[in-house]
Amino acid sequence: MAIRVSEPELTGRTLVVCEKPTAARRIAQALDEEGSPEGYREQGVPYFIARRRGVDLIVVSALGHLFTVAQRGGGWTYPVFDLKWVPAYEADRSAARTRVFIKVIERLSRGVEGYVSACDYDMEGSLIAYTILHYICGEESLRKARRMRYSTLTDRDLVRAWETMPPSLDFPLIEAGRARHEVDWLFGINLSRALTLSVKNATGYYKTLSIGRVQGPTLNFIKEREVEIRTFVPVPFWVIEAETEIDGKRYPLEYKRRRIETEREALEIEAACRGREGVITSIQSKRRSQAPPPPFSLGDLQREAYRQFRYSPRTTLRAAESLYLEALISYPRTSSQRLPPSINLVEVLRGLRRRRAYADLAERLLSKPRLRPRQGRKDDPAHPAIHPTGNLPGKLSKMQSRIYDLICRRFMAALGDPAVRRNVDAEVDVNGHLFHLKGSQVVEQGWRLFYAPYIREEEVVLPALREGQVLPVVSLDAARRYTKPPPHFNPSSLLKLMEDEGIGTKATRTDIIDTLFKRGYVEGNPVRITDLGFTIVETLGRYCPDILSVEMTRRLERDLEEIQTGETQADAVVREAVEALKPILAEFKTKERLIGVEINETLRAEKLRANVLGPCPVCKTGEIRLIRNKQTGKRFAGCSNYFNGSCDTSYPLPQRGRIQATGKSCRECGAPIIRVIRRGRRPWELCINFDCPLKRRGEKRAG
Amino acid sequence: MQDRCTLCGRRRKGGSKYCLYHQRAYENLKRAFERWRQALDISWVEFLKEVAGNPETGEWAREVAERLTERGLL
Repeated sequence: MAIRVSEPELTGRTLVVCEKPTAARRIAQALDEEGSPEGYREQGVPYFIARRRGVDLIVVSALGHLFTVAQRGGGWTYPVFDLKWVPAYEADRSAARTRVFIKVIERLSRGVEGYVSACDYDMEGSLIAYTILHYICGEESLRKARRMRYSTLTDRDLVRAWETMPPSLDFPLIEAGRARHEVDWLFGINLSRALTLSVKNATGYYKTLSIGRVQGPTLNFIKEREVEIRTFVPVPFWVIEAETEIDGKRYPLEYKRRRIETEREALEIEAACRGREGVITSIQSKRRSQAPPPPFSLGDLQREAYRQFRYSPRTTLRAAESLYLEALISYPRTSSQRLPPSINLVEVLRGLRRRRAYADLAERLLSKPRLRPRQGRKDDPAHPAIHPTGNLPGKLSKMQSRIYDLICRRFMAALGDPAVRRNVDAEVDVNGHLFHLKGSQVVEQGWRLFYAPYIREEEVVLPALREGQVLPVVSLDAARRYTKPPPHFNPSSLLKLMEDEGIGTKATRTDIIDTLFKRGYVEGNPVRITDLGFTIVETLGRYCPDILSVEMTRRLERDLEEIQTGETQADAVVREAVEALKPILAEFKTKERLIGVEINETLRAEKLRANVLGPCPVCKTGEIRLIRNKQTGKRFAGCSNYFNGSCDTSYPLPQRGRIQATGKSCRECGAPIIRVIRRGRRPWELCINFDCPLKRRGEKRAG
Repeated sequence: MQDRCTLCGRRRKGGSKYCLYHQRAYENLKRAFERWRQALDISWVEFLKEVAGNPETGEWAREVAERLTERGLL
């Protein structure tokens, strides 16, 4: 059905619902005819009154989701299939602040005649506004409500979005969002409760364990990689490393085969070629065109920021979102690698030209007769690729500056001409063996000029060569090498894997990786699976492999996407999820005890390990462990040999905060160094020996 | 503990003396040995010693190689 686009005919007070306070301020400013809306604050909740064509616009802000899914009825058990939407503060204690937002929006919505959803234009944004209208303003508001659709928070874009609002909400997107929340809740609550209760019912020990629809398969990928690495056996091979010298400069000679499988053959080649001369038998020179890179999708940006600055996907997303809220870049949660014709490229470049760092580059592009961006393969119906708006940034943090520069340069590079390289390949015969002398040089910079700081390719410029030229082989060795195991995932490659496997969405993948860290299933960078993560996946894989199934997750993702296009109904997808869960949970229940016992073994081992703070510096054979006094509940550190009567070393410990072993010992007294983590404070490390000479001397660093 | 892997204490796989993972490492060792033998004309004993000392060898593969060497199960 075609959407009718018309000027909004709003007659009375209109409630404009935004996603975040910063966005609300920008939207109010853009829509107010004077550009200076009245700002108010009620119980700490900001809102604005803007005036447009004689109508008062009450611009309010949410705080992300104000409503969420919860269990209907009580009981901490599973399976649970009966759900309802409730205010977020009822379901989650950490969302307490949403209560005042709901209260203020409820008061401001009284007597309102029109409603506009102005949240970020995506599934989550549409759902946030929908739940606010539905549960606070009532059913009637949904019929009157309209949807602003914008990709940047610039005045120009916002006013255009206002003037071209479709006459109704984007219900397919809302339904897709609702179904996604419900499906994820159903999987999350049931599987997490099943896991937690399996341990509790089998052993009486309580620990919150969780697994989700996307978490499970992702953790399984990490586990499979870990198994591959830990069972890896290297195999030897040989490479012929040779060099020639021309005009006093050395150049590598590449043997025709990169790998020689046997030592015998490698040594034969070495013996045949060492100390010989080579003759150039042919020279090929080719020009190769390198197309510009497409502009960034969110995944591309996160990967590039990791490659260039080692920023985690979460850090990059946060920086990009802050730039979006400052109206400096377009909406970052996009899968698109394309810049549609609706974007005024000239205007953006004129904006960039005002910044000294980009003045010359932007000018070059503006002087082109025609601007044609390189378009990538991926598209997103809601938003274009990430691009600058052309607004001049004020003061940016280092992180924001780097991400902003990356986006601007990539945008300009996408508008550049192809680069051209000249590749030279000279074939060199050394006693009947073929080597290659290769050179590569950029002859036309093209788009590389715009993206130069982020290109790391080395050039090999060869001197003039001719066929028949004799070259000395100045060094030649048959070097033994070994095959290598696959690398551990890092946050960036994990994100790529999830994208390639079609699990999660651009908006949720970063959160899922974070959750795996928070639950203690993975740690570090490169990402390594912990014993707990390993046991969870291994146990589920043995007893309930469907939970880890990529196919099921992928199928659900596809169905959820089809809701947006109207091919599937949200309720049908939620029902399908329930039907998929039923046999999984029934099977789980029958094996609950076995699962609980297995997971508990790892939990206990982890707990024991976590209590070991380091070796005992006095008896040298015991371990200093964290011990809790059963009567007072206070904790201290003592040697494990105390129990056999051979060592009574003990140390007092801080009573507040979490204590972690660091694996380090004090350089002065040899006692373990611990890390103390307290909420709201920077973690600090200290030697646990109260009488440590370093402390008496007042030196801070013990390790 | 007869149903446990002699190296890590996990449940054993079928009739093997190893768990699923150490068994996989053992099979990788056997497969790799064929390639080592072709490449270097090396004996099983020498191969195990080489593999156990190689930094690229995975933790579980090294454990199996060391156990085989220790026990003389050559």
